[in-house]
Amino acid sequence: MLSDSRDGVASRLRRLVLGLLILLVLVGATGLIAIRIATDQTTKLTNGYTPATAAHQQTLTMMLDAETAVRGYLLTGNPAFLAPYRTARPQIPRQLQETRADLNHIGVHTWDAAIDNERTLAMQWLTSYADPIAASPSSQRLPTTARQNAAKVLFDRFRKADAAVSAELDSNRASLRSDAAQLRSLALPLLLLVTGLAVLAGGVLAYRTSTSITRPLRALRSVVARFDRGDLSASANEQDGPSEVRALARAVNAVGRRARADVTADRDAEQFRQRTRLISSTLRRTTNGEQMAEHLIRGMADAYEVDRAWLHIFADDRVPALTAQWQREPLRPLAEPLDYQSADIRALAQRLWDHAQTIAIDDHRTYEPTQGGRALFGLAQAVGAGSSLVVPIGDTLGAFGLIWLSMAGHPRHWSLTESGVAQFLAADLAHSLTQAHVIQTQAEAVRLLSELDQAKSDFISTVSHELRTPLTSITGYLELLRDGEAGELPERARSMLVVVERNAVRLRNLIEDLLTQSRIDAGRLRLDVTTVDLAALLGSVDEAMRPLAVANGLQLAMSAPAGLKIEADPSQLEQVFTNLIGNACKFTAAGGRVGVELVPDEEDGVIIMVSDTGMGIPAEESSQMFTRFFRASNATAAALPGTGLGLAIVREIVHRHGGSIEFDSQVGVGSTFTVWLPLHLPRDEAARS
Amino acid sequence: MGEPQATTAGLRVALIAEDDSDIRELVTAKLGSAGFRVIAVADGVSALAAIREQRPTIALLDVMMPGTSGLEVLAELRRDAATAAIPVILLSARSQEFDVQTGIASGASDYIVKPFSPRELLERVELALERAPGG
Repeated sequence: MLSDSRDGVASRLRRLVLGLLILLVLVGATGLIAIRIATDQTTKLTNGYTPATAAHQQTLTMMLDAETAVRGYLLTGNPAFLAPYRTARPQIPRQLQETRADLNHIGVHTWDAAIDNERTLAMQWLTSYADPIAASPSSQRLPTTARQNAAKVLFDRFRKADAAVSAELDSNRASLRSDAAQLRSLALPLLLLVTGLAVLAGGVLAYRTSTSITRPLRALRSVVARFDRGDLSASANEQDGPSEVRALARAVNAVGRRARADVTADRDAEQFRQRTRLISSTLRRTTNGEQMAEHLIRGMADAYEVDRAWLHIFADDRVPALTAQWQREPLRPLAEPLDYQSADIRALAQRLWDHAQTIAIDDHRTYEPTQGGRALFGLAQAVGAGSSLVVPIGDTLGAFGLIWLSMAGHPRHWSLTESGVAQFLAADLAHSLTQAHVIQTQAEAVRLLSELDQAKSDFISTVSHELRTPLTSITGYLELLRDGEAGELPERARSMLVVVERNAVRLRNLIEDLLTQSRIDAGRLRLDVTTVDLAALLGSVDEAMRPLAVANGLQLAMSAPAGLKIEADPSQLEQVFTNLIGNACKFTAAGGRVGVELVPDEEDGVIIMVSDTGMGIPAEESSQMFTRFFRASNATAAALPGTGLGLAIVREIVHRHGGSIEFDSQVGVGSTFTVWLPLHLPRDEAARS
Repeated sequence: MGEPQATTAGLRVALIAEDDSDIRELVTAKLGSAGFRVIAVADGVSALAAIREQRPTIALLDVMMPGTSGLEVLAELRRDAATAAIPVILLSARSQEFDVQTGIASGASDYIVKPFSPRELLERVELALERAPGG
């Protein structure tokens, strides 16, 4: 962490700024020094050397003026010549003093002694020679030659000293000037050089700092870009760059590891889902509960990779009881739970079911059963289960089973997905089991019903046949009696026999209806097709039905064109006529009329109309008239006998012949039934016959 | 000489095999009054024996008889050249369940469904005899 703060981006930037500041100070200092030196030289020249030189030159000029004045006076004796002397005389020591002060002012004391010496010589010359001459011009007009020579030597000494000082001053001024020029010619390039170096150093520093941050950042960016493209194998260098970037690299790598783990987990989860989907689809391939349970248990053991999978369905009216189990070798299968265990397990399943829960026990050693189910956990302990997943099976009415997955002896984590999918599979199984059970129950019910129906049809068929035999004797002897085989009968006996015959006919028709209906129900109604002469058929019907019409006091009128032939089953066709005419006679009061009319139809068929002037059919019941066993309410109210089979049979026969039937009726006025039949039987019906 | 001729050519013999005695008597009465000598038996075995012995002009066989059925008797008759030409009418209470075509195909001259009218029975018998090769 110490290295982190030292290597951080902030500290790198701090170091960069510090370096740049040092370079700036360096450049500034160099410039300042150069300026300072230049200023110093100028100050020396302007404040020191230049006024000092001027004052010094003034001294010499005045001394020469004084000497010239003295010499002129001595030569002429004219005191007027002394005027310049008197002007210069006070100036001379002052100028020298000024020269010295100017130099001292700029700190130069080099020539103090020389200037003092020059002044001493000038003053010596002035006080010892010139002053006395100027003071007493009349008395001492002419000094001696010796004195003049001595003064001349003194003056020469002064001049020599003065010249020396002047030369020194000039040389120093020149040297100062050349120094300044030299400085100027040197300072600028130096400054430029230092500035250049500073810029270069600053640039290098900034570049290094920048690259030390951006290069690892660029590397990171490329890693993230590879992640983005789905290349999760990319990894960032955690040892490169500032500490923040390294931390970022570590974070990026952590994200990468997480993503790789997620992808692996996703792949595992997808594989898991794939396997569980397979279970669901295999469940639907069978309607056998045992097989379903077997599929589920094997499938779950495979998908969950468990050591033991156990499924128990309790005895219930929704599903058959069953147990299915699978265990890894060399584990032994569980014994069928005892009754009390089964009850306890059932209670546990119900509790879980009520709360839509599963029990996921990662480690049995640390698990405290709080929801009951002692029997199951006892079993778990007995078989040494290390971890368990318990899922209830049920439907809206409650639990009816339980799935138990377990690991032998070692812990295992059950993910939420796993327990969720287990619940889903349990629901799937429950649905499939109950559906299968319903289907099986229904199939059984249908089988029983069809057996019952078959028995009923067989019964009706048998009874009808058994009735036919005695009926043969009744109608047969009746015919013999009426034909006079037993001799002439008294009138009263004959009329009694008419009643017997009428009822025998009714009985026979009833038996025929029942037989036909049972054949229809059993799918055994066959057409024995021949070419039927309708007029002839109608003749025999007339013969059979007329006694009934006569007995009921009805007028029966039949008309059919001769030679009209049709492909049909004659006995069934006869039944159509018999039923329709029988109905007409039955529902028409005495004095009424029943008419039967056959007309050829343009469309290769024949129209049969049976009309009466009877009680009619209530309009609201007309849609039900062809429903078997249905009887019109006015017919039952009038206590007219009947089975409700006649019209149903008529319609069936007509349809089997490829024809149609409809009726028109008005209560209290009468009914007309109209049948249309094709002259030739449709191909498929012909093939079936 | 006239009487034996009448016996062989004029007297017709009909056999009725029917387990129901009332129907048996009904047929006997009707055919008897129509001039037939009627042999009435109650089962298939007796029918076969009577036919072989007495060679009736026509045989009426109930299909549904206990023991040997009418169809079996018919088949036996048709197998034997001596009885193969005797016309046979089958009687049955079952119309659809027993295939009429099968009955006709196995050699019956006609097929009568119960309940039948004695008059109709007589007509069918006459018809069968007219069509029979010997008739």
